[in-house]
Amino acid sequence: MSLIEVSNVKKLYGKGDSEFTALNGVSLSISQGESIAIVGKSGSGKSTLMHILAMLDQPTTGHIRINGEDVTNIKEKKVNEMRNSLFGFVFQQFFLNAKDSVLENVMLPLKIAGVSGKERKLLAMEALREVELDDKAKNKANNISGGQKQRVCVARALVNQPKIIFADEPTGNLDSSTGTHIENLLFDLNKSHGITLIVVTHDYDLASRCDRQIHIKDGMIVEA
Amino acid sequence: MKFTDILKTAGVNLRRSKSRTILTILAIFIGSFTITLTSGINTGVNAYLDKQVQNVGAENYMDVLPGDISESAGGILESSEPQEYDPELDGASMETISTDDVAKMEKIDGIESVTVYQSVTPEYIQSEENTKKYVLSPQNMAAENMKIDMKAGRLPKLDSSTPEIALAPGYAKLMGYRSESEIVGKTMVVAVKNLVTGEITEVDAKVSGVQDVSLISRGRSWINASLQERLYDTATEGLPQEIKDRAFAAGVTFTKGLDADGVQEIKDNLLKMGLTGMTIEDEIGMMKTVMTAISAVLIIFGVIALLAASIGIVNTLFMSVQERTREIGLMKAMGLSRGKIFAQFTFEAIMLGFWGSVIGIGVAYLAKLFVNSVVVKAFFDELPSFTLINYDILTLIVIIAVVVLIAFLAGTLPARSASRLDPIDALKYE
Repeated sequence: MSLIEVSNVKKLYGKGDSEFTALNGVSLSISQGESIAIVGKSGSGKSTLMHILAMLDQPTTGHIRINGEDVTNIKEKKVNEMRNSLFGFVFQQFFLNAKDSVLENVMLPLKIAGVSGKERKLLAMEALREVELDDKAKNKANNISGGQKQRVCVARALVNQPKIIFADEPTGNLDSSTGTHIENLLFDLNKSHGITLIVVTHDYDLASRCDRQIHIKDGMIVEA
Repeated sequence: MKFTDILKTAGVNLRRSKSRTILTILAIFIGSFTITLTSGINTGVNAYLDKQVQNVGAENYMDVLPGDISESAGGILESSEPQEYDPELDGASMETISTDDVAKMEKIDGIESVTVYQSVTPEYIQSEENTKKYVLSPQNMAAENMKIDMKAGRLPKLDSSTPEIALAPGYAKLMGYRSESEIVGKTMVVAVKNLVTGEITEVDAKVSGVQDVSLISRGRSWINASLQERLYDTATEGLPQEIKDRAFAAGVTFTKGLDADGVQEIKDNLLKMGLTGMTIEDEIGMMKTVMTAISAVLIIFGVIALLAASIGIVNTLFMSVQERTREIGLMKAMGLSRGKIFAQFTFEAIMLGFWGSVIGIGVAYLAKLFVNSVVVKAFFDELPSFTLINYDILTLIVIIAVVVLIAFLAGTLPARSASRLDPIDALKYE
């Protein structure tokens, strides 16, 4: 059984003359433990596809199944719970809370999940060890380098032991050597923990490291 | 997210922008301080007035004045045009209480006795051992059961044939006595001028006691009927009987334990005769009404300050939502519900309101300590047992509750916009 099943998803924005088709009938299936790259130019619809896969957005028509369950029209509370327990996010711009410590940033998903303070700390320290930043736990998120910031983000994406990590241009803000470091980290997690990795990128080097590449053009999947 | 985590996060967010938080709290503080202080003064003064009523004690006594006071007050506005003469309305009788009126009053249900107050202004009072003369303003004893605070001795005996006087405080020292108790039992002379001949005659009066200071007595000395009669007779000797009998006011005692309706009935009956009855509670009640009106105005100012402060809360939190757009978007992407984001922001507002009101009350409490010890000593020293400001716990709790409620309502606006943020929009990077 596939982890995510997308069938004939369309996404329209706007109405009437300003109507714009972001996705025009996308179907795909992703299995547990795969690494997938969603590739395309900006405006191709690749971000919209990621948003729909991550349940941040609803398709206009079509269906999404996660673990066999149709999630297209489920309640907001359930959506929140699923996002919190199944997904991890890594963004190009990090989105760390600059004034909080590294540890607090990593603990955020657990705090949202309602995990108690003690366990929160334990799990977060474990995730930080995974990215080799446990010695920076007390530092303010603002006072570490860009590469370290993205490693903190990986730890944050990892801390709730997700099934899937969504990485939106994870190396876009980094120089090539730190970028490679982050890539290695993500693929390690993919291999060792069996976490499904869904990377949105226009970096073909990064894309080629994934098991599968999905090319998006004008809202449709095309052959490379 | 757990409830305690929501609270903690709200607290942390407030601490992150300290100056903004402090300024917002300051605005709330000003409003709640004003309200607390004003209600404290109101409570303090009203408690004192109530105590005064209890002190006087004559629950079954009322003053009766000629004319309808409420009508004459309204009359100022009514008409300045000349009125046609009506023989039924005898001009002079409107201003005084005649023996006829007294007889009628005695027939009213519930009235037990009527004492008339005939105007007599003594020329002076003088101690037998001192040559200095002092002005005296006498006040008729009307009821036996009055409870005037005494510094020494007792009130005059109402029905005693000995002319007695309870002096207002201060006379003893002026007349050269070492203490208030030393003057008790001494005989004074009170002088009156005869209205016909202008001749001054001295009348003996025995000092039965010295009063403590109070709002009710206001520097008047209580005299009994025996002294009053002697002074009046001396002053009016040679005047026709009809004029002699006229009184400027009367005192009425009614059945003890009469309820408010019964008292009102007596007042209504008096009003039909063109007379106004006023109990001591009525008189104090007028002072209370004035006091309450003044504090109502001040409290309205406080509420206006609070409303301005609540706009400050809205502004502060909107700025905070703006600054934390990404953070909010991220938390929503990670599965934080709208309700909890709403809760987090409204808690920030509630905390602002809570601290503002608590600090306001705290400073108002310090102000109470200062005012009661320094200001009262300087300006209200002649009123012992008077505390200008007094807080009662219930009022303070209500003030905190109301301020917190206002803060909460102000917070719902920015909290709503925060909870409605779309994570995709919030995390877009231009």
